[in-house]
Amino acid sequence: MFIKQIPFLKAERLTSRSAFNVLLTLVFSVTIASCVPDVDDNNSTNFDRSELLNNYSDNIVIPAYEEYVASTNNLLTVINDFALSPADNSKLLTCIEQLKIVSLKWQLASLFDFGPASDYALLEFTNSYPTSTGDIELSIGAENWIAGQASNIDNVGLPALDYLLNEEGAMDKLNANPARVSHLVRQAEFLNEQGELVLETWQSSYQSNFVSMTGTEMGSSIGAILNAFNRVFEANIRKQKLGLPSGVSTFSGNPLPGHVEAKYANYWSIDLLYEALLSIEKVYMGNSSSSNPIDMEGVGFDDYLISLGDEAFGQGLNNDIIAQIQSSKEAVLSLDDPLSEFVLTNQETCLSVYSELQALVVLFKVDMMSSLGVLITYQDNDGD
Amino acid sequence: MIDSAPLITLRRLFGALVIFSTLRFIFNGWIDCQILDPLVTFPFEGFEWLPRPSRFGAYTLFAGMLIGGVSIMTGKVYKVGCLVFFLCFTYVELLDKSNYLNHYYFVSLMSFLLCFLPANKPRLKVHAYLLSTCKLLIVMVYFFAGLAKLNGDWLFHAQPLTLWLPQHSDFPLLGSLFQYRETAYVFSWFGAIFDLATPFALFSNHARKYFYPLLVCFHILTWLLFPIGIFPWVMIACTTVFFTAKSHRRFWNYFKKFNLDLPDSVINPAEPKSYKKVFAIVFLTIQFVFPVRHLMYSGNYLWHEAGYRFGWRVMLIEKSGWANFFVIHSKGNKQEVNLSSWLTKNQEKMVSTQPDMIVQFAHHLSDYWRDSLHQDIAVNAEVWVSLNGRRSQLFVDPNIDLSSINNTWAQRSYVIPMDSVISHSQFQSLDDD
Repeated sequence: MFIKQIPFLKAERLTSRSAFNVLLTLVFSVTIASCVPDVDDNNSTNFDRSELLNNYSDNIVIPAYEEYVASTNNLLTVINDFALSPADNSKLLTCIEQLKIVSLKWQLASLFDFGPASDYALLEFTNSYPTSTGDIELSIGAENWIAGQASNIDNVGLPALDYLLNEEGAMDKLNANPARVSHLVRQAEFLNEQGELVLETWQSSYQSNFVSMTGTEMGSSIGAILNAFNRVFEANIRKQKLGLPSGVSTFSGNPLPGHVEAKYANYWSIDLLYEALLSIEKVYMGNSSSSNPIDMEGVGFDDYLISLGDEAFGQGLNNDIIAQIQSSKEAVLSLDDPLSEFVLTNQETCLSVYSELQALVVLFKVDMMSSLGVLITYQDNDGD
Repeated sequence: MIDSAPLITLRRLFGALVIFSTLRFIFNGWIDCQILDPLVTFPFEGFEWLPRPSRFGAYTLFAGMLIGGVSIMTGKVYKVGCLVFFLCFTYVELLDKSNYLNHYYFVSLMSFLLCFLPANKPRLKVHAYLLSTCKLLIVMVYFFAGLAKLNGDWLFHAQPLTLWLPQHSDFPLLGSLFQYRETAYVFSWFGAIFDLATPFALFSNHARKYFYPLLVCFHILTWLLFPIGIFPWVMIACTTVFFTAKSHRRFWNYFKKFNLDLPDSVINPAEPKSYKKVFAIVFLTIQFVFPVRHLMYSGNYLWHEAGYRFGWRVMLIEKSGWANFFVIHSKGNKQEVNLSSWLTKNQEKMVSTQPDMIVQFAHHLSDYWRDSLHQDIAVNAEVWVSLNGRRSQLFVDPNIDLSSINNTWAQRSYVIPMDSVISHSQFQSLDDD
């Protein structure tokens, strides 16, 4: 035994007890002292997370889905109209114009890849490219075509519609083959259904769920929206829209022009990338959708960041993020459509724009995430 | 010679907890996602030879832990049970660094120690040095945890608690206080003082009974605030060994089935062989020296993490990172690696912040390219890390071939020292050279 029961230790026992009392009193008084005064100083990080969540769900996410679904509805209408008179070239042009609108609206809607969107695999079914033209051709003849299965991912959605409407000689092919036209209709129906399902789920049940999960742990609403935001930006915007076509992941280092977004339209890729950056900016700032009656600056990650952080980690970081978004947008404007040709002729420029986007990934994924203290845990964690 | 009642409580509670922990691990589906699913693993240096278990092997190991746990709890076939549990548990821990937790290490050490303690014989007296070894192992956790908190980030910036506490503003009662930075300071200082005071308070016969309720509250609070698994309960259970044998017997007498009546005849064990005492001293010395091995390295060990693990550094850092690995082919072209196709989410998170795992991953890449694609490659990485509320900084030398480095005890010279701040614009010009 380490403490032996020896009489002369009695005095010491008293001391250790009183020392302990002093310690307790000290801790207690420090606690009281530090809590009572400075209630209104700027060290307080009083931030209403439910206001943030309400802003995201009611002013950003749901309006974004509404606009997107309205555009896919329109697309379905004009495609149905075209199907009635497939020889009418102007109707085909209307369809193509509408497809571009849908593709632009999709950029904002794609950022919310959690909850219903992730349950219905909206991102995968809507915009996985390059699309498999062989599979599309096969399914044109199929009498019963069931979309929405894992094997469909690479032959449905926007890239499939891009192929059917924009490929070389699309007009003649559609005109010559009624089955091709009806497959076009089926594709537009599927795209529209998927969006509607997600929007309805948000409106009917997920919205209230979303605003009530105000915690910050894994699976909370803030954790979900931030993780999706970061993942989509890193993988689907930075890498897929620009990195892969520029050849960052190829063995040879050669560009892959066939990997650009909307490759059959050929002239949309940069517009879509730019729109994606605008959407990232909008979501970061918590600004409501542009065609809302009032385009307003709402409570967003920027405000949350500023409220939590100190000079460098709060306001300073916010400034850096905004500056980096700006320089990314400018960099993207230095690219020229068609991107599929530009990656071949100006690979260096593409790679330098890519590294601008990369710098933004670091600011979002490392600085912002640790500043917001959202613990990304997949299992137990003791802070190691 | 002392009464063995405290050891009996220890093995009963410890056994129950490890059974619970093992079942929790199984029912959370962690056997699949931590042991079977990963494409590559990050074994501890020196244990790379341990074969990765098949599905059958993994379930056998967990069955071993369960059987061992039951045997520890009940005291039946006790020593064999302890050994089986220790071996199965430690085997699983050594398979992959990305799952490392301080309390897993503690469970390994404690189950190892239990193999040598006669904790299954209520009538047998035990030698005092055995109980003392056990107590020292327990207070060591607090002592080193407290010592580790005596750093600038913890004391003077209240980090990482400043980052973590405001997230709990909806916590009952205390929640509204968490938004104040002062609260993080109070928690930090209290935590440091508490950890450092615990060894002394537990050994003091008088302070103990006042201190123990505080200790329980402290651990429960950390359990509610942070995702630290069963660690708080393990410590609450183990610290009971400091109470006198009499209190232990009184406690168990509340439960008819488990009571520990004072034995009619007490059996005194034989005088211990001296090598056993030497063994205990060697074991404790290692435990006291190993956690301070970080002193061998210059720079901030919270940053480079050399000598960080196995040192009772709990809840000490908030580190987040992002890593972009490149395979450099012999022709000079750079190919970006898609981390998510190689690593689980948890591994990806760990590889992005821990230098030795960055090196191990670089070896995985070069092995794959050499063995499967017959290509000699170099591996570079651009890694950005933010530590305890600092802005992100470049973490490892972006121009070094990481696959040419081996993890050793040497200083990690490939890690860029903290605060040699390299901004993004500087990095890009560096990249162009």
